[in-house]
Amino acid sequence: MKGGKNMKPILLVEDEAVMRESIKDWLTDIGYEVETAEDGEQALKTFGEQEIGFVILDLRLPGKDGLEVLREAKAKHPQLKGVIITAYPSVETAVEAIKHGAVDYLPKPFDLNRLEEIIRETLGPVQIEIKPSREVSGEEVTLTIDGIEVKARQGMTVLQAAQSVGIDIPTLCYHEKLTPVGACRLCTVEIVKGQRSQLVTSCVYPVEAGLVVRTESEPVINVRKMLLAMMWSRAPGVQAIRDLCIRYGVDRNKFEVEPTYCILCGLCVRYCSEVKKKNFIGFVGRGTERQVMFLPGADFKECSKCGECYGICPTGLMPSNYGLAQLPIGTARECCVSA
Amino acid sequence: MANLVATDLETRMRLSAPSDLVELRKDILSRRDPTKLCVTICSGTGCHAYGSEEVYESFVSEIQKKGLQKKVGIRRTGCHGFCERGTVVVVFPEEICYLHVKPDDIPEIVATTLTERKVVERLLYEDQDGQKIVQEGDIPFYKHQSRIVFGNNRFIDPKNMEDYIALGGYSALAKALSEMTPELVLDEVKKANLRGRGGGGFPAGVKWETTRNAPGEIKYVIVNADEGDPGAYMDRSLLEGNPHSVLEGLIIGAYAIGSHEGFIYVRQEYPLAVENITIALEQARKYGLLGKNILGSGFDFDVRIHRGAGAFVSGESSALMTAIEGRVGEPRPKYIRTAVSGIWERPSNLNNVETWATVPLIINKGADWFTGIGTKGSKGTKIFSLVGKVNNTGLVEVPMGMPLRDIIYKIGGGIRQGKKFKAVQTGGPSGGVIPERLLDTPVDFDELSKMGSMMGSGGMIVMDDTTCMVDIARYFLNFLSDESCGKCVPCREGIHKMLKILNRICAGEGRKGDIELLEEIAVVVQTSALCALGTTAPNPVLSTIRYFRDEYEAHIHEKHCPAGVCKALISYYIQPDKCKGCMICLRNCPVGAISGGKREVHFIQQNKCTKCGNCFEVCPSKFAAVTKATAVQLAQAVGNRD
Repeated sequence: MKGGKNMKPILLVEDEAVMRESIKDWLTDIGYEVETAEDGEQALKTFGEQEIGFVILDLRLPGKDGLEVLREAKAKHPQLKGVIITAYPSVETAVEAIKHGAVDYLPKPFDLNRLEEIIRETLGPVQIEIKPSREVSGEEVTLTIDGIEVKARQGMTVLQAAQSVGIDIPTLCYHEKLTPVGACRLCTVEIVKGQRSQLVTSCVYPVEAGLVVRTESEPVINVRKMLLAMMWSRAPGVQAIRDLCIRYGVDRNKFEVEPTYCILCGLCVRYCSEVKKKNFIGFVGRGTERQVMFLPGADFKECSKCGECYGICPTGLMPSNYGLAQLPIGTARECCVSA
Repeated sequence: MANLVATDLETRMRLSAPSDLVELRKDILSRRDPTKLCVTICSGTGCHAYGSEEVYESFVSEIQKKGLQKKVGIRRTGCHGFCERGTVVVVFPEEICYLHVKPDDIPEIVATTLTERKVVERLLYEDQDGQKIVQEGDIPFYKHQSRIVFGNNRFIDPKNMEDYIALGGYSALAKALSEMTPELVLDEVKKANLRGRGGGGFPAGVKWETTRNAPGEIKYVIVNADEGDPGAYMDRSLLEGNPHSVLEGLIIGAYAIGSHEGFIYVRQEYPLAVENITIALEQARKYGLLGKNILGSGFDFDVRIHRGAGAFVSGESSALMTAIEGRVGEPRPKYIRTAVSGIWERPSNLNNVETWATVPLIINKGADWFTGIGTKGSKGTKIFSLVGKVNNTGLVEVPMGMPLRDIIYKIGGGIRQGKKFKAVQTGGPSGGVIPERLLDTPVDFDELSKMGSMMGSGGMIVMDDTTCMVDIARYFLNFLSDESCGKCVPCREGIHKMLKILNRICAGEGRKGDIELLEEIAVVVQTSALCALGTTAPNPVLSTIRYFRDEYEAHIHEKHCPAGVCKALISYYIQPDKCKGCMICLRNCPVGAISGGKREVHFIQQNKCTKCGNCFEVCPSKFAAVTKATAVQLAQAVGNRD
């Protein structure tokens, strides 16, 4: 995914691989184009090769340190803006950094939101494009779904291919704008390769040429029935699950009711993170203790203005789940009234 | 000046060609006298807990007191494996093995063995016939093993790289880098048919090849040391006891794959492993065995340590890689394999500790040697953690294909207190149980799967007839329910629902149809969960039902726990004809449920009894008046009395 139009890339100079990759991930997720370098030499080489809009420099680097690199780069590209990051902050180096032309100085660990703010102030905001869940390349492949020949592009998932021809595979955790995670497993289908058949999760299974897919075979239906019975015990009365239970003839009394209402599909979490770029809600705990919660640092004022995650919740029970009842009634809220 | 000396020393230490390594080894050996007395003290986790550190200190001070410093060497080694007899002390060159050594024993060992060169009889191993065994290798526990991977632990001080090099360490790396192309290394590992020791048994060579051929300049190699099975600690002991062997294997693998960056993912809960591998990395860097241009070959490689944050599921490959990326360690869909798209979507090859440690052996001795050990489908040896109701517990390394019976009876010395064997659980919490009638099955990856269990990382828990199989399934499901990440419905809800059913069966509230419901849920979880934790989670349930269905039925239909374990289904009962009215159980009952008086027959009021079992424990064995009775037996007993 490339950044906003005509925006120069950011250069990240950091010798620690984990740090380098996580900052890079964060920035590319937001939409910036990021180049990386492991040391000063490599960084200066990159400056020579392409135009860099903003540089993030670790203070301590093997060979030339961050300040030296900034000074040398500034000498050649006076317009260059940059920030120094360091795990060894001191007043002296901070003063030096500003003297050398850094726009800011961030002691590690720092809040990535703060880094984003600095970059936004310098480069302007990126045009947010919603990325397709997986990079879809040009090559066309043909597969068979429920006896129908379907043409799809390499990189698409079986679920997308099925949807493109109107085959309805049930799912409660898939959304076209969001990265699929395969959490609800309702989209399980059977694939056949030669003599062998296997159950796979169609929202994450990539299409292949010649693949034979059965979306409503007996083993598939058995899995869906069991999963729906389990989900019903957690979110009894929810329309979307009731409809599917009826469609598959599920015995809704199979398990005793233990309501949590949230089925942990994670749509709200991914929506807040991937579309809104906020990460205000997230998962806490594991196993049956897992819950969706507001994370520390969430801005409730902004949440009450947005509320878009309500609309995406398949149970429609978000407000009661998260104690957000005091939020002002808006369009998003209304969709929850059905609950 | 000091700096200059240090730099000079470092340049001198750096090995810039395979011949330097040979020279270094010669130099180390020339400084060592194989006939010299040397006390080795096992300092693995088990012995450490027994107080091996105090034993070491006592040796140091006692040897000093006697002025024997020049004549006797002392070494703290890695785990020897016979953990339940710790602290293990072996005196070289005779290899006299002392077990259960306490600091108080040291003066005697120093006076008798180190001074007079005589054996301290009382600290030797004694077999069932009362025969004393002097040498470590003759003890039955060791005699039936073939310790090709684990065996060097006992010679090596894990903090001293010279010990590893003295035993020929890093010669496989030198051979690979100087005499073999990466393709040749890969071919050798493929030919050896080395299967991953971490659980699934996927052929390591095939995985390496996939990573090697996957597009992308940057590739990673990873050591999985996130061993989390209850009771299993072989990877821990290997990483603690012989860290360089793991590292050497990793560097060879990186060379074959074309990777220049590696990670060691080790549990934070293994402090000694973290410490020893950290030291090993520093030493290897100092000697030029990590870093740029290793042994002058032009191959660059370095490793980082990532300490795990204590989640069992992080041992799953995609979860582990997600954790290395700095995110919550949760599995992700793997239809595109991690060998192709792993850490930061780059090709990443993950193998466990034992697999990596086996690699140098294959390179040194050749694939033909390796395939000469083991069965048709599973080559080489496997380290198991043999625990439970068996006489000799500890870590054992045996060739693939050894029958379970030999492991349990020949090496393990049979069942404790002469009780009857009931089942052995292999493969950790998501493995399965194997009953008596299948004990002669040779142990390898495929046979274990056929029996409904798995190799897993090599846990082996032996159970006797006082174990309730429903309770065992419940125990493991409870563990898995705590450790499931909760991301996908079948694992999170499926384990929870199965656990609820097992809980009610153990509580005597099982219903007709519960067994079938368990089976129905299990199949769905097996086929639809996101990762291997989920797909294998039903194993404990399915295998106990498969081999011990009658126990489930007894619990459900007769409200009877045949093993007398499930509290809700047993009662304590005092046999009136045996009770002498001694007041001991009466005084020890914490809830005052026992009535009676001196020389009066005691009686347990069942409605007050909490079934703690105190009365059963304290009743003098000469009376043995208190009995544990299942519901059925109690009814009979009461009936008889009437």
